[in-house]
Amino acid sequence: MSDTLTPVNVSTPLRLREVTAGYGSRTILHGLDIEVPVGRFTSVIGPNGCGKSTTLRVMARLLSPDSGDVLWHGRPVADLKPRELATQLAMLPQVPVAPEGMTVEDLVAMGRQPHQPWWRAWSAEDDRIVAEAMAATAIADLAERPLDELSGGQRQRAWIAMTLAQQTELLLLDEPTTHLDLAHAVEVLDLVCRLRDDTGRTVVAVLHDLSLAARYSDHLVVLKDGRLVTAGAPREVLTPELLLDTFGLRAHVFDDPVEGRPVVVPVGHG
Amino acid sequence: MSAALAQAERPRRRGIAIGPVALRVRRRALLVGAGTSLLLVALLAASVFTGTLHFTPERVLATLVGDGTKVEELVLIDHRLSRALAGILVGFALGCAGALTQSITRNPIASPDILGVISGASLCAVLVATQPSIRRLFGGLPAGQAVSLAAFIGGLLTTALILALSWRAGFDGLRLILVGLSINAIAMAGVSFALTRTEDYNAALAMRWLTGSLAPARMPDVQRLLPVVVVGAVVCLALHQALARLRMGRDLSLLLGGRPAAAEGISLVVAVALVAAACAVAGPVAFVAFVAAQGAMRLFGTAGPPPLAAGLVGATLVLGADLAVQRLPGDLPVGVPTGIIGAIFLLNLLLRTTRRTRV
Repeated sequence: MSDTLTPVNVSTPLRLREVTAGYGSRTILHGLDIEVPVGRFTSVIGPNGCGKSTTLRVMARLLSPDSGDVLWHGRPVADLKPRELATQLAMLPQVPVAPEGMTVEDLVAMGRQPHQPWWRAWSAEDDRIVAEAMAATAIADLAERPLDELSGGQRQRAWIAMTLAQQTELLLLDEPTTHLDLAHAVEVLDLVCRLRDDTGRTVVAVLHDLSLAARYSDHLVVLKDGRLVTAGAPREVLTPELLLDTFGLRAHVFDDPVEGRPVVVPVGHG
Repeated sequence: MSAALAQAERPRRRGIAIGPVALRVRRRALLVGAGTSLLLVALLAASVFTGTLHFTPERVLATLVGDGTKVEELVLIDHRLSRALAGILVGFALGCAGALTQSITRNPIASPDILGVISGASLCAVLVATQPSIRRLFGGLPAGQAVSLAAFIGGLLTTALILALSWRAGFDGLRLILVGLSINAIAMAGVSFALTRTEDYNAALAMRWLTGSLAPARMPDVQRLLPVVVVGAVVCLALHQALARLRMGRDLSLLLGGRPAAAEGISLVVAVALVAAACAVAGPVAFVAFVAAQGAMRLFGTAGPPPLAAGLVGATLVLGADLAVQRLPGDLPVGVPTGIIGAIFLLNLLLRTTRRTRV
């Protein structure tokens, strides 16, 4: 499937340039510069309250910056029409809420909305794409089930299927593994990585768990107090010094003997 | 994976396409919709063909096509048919409005009857009914029409007030509900105050309006209500997807390509116009907006309250309730059975919600 993907001629589909943003008079992000590498899995990490989720909200245009630019393929994201943006960029918020009685298939079909004019709320192609998205996330059997009957992991896969049905080149995930146990968290991240590999999607995720971030990301963006600390490949970025300075965490960083990816082992103060 | 894909090739969801227009159709919604429509037609027939005065079916049909005597026309067209059509339109308007406000606030409690729109309309109607000095502002209008007009204006004014007080760069669902509940309480207090300070004759006029009744509805009322309901229904159809997005919250609405602020504003204006117009004809018919929207959601198995289906359910509910009060002894207003059904429904909803939060 990856060879059918139309290559993007810019290596950075999304770029934040000196973005300052916040809520009312409370400024969260201070002159942030971020470049999102194309076709890669980028994780935004940092201690609580550092502005990770705010960064994602600015990227998805849910929050407009007080100053600075958010550039989508070199074009200010503010210039795009809502539908235009929604067909190129999908985001899964931290705690998404579905209306009562919504089934898995209803939810996944919502992902087709940006592609539909109001008078054509259905097409055979929509059917096919919805079925594909459910198959890719292994929830086809649950299609008729109401969302509130599902387990946390199943529900998260259903939401990801909705963003897949949007068929966007960029996927933003705000803490997709929160409230999931380790096995389900790994399942969700495996799925996201498979999507990146199979469809060439660019993924940006906010992750809390440093080991999972190190294990799955191609690129790490480290924030502290709304400022960029550093960015790069996990092996270069994740060092004991960085963890101590940024997170106040004393930890060892080892290379995983099987995959050679960094593993963070907290030392604590004991 | 390939097995899953092969299984997925089978189209699950079917739609109807007419030229460039296409709708997604669910079997259940189609069946329930057809069933409800049949019931509505049966109720309409019962309303016109039966009653205290007996007419043969042949005479009823003859009168409907214009070959009736003066008496037949008076009974069948001016009373029975007008009352039944007014019931359908009032029910549709209220149900549709309830689904709209519940959808944009994502709260089943947020229907216009609970939010103070109807009490605001009642307050203005009662003021006009009880204060001759205010009624004189309406010039030579007969008392009944002046009260209806006052109800319509009152509904609009109250909503404007609720919006002005709850608007903060868009609607916050909870804020809207709290402001609505306060306005509701103030308006009800105002109604009580006005009723205690008036002559018996004026109080009787006010009370007749306050209980909500279709008995005085005539053809001109139907003609005034029809355009509002038609425009409302068309807007609901056009807003279908925007409402589906809004039910998922503002963030997801934006992320799925919507303009939530615009959709919320249009929905609210339509809902208020529908409620105010319905109130002007029938007075405050209790709980229909709330019950029809929640009932339609459960009957049709949709994600969130569907406005057009809620309109259909509301129409059936009001027509059925009105038929029941006409046949029952005691000359009850239509608001009594709908109020009882609504109270049971609300209790059930609250019990289910508390049970779910406890689990």
